[in-house]
Amino acid sequence: MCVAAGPTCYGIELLNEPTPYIVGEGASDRAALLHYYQLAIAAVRGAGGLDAAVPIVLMDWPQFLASYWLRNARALAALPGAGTLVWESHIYAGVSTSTLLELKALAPTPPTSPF
Amino acid sequence: MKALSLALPLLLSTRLPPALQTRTKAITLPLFELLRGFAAATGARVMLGEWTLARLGSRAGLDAAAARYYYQETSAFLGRCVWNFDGPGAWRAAAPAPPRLPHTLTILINPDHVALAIPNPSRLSRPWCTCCTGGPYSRTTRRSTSFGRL
Repeated sequence: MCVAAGPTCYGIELLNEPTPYIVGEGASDRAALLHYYQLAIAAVRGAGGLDAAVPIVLMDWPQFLASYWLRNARALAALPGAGTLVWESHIYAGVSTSTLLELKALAPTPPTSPF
Repeated sequence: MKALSLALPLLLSTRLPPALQTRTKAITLPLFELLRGFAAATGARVMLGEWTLARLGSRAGLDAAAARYYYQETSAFLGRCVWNFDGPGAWRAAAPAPPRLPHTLTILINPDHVALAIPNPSRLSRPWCTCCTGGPYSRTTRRSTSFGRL
């Protein structure tokens, strides 16, 4: 696919907007997604596959980058033959309560009022 | 929500004027901080995808002047250019070199470099960013260079 597109193809994103609600996993557990990415990277970079210099794009929501992937992203980069990996993240909703809550994890602890 | 509203000002640059203390900025700049923090902690390359900036901007109802200033301030905040031309109305009109793209540009971010990836560079008709050459995104740079714009 990327060869056919020539230089227009920046890379291949394996999955867009994986569900944040995976059955059987906790709120910040993305083990199933990690496993999928491991298998997918191996398949994409396999014999005759995508050149190592062409980015494989890995997507997950911001709150998971700030939690699960902060601890586990290196496991993917360390895969033999993983090549260039680029993480992509974005906000789907506009200014909403859910968006604010998604980003709450990165906000510093507010100062406690003495009153 | 209250705790977040108290905490967010701590994340925002004091250079930003009160007129731009919008909820859009309050979302976007912490998102940049998150992505930069993730990149710094893991060594990963990170891109801000889809049309986050334009979506946030248009829904917040920023006018063209505010949008233009927002681009400038965000660029200064990140140390590189950050433009997204896919927003409707005022945001697209505010682009300094508006190619009027019908699709999304993607912004790449890491702690010391920001570049733009072009999903379909053949759609570009004008230069859109002059400070994104070099750096670790050689693939982006090479394509942009071959396109004769950067």
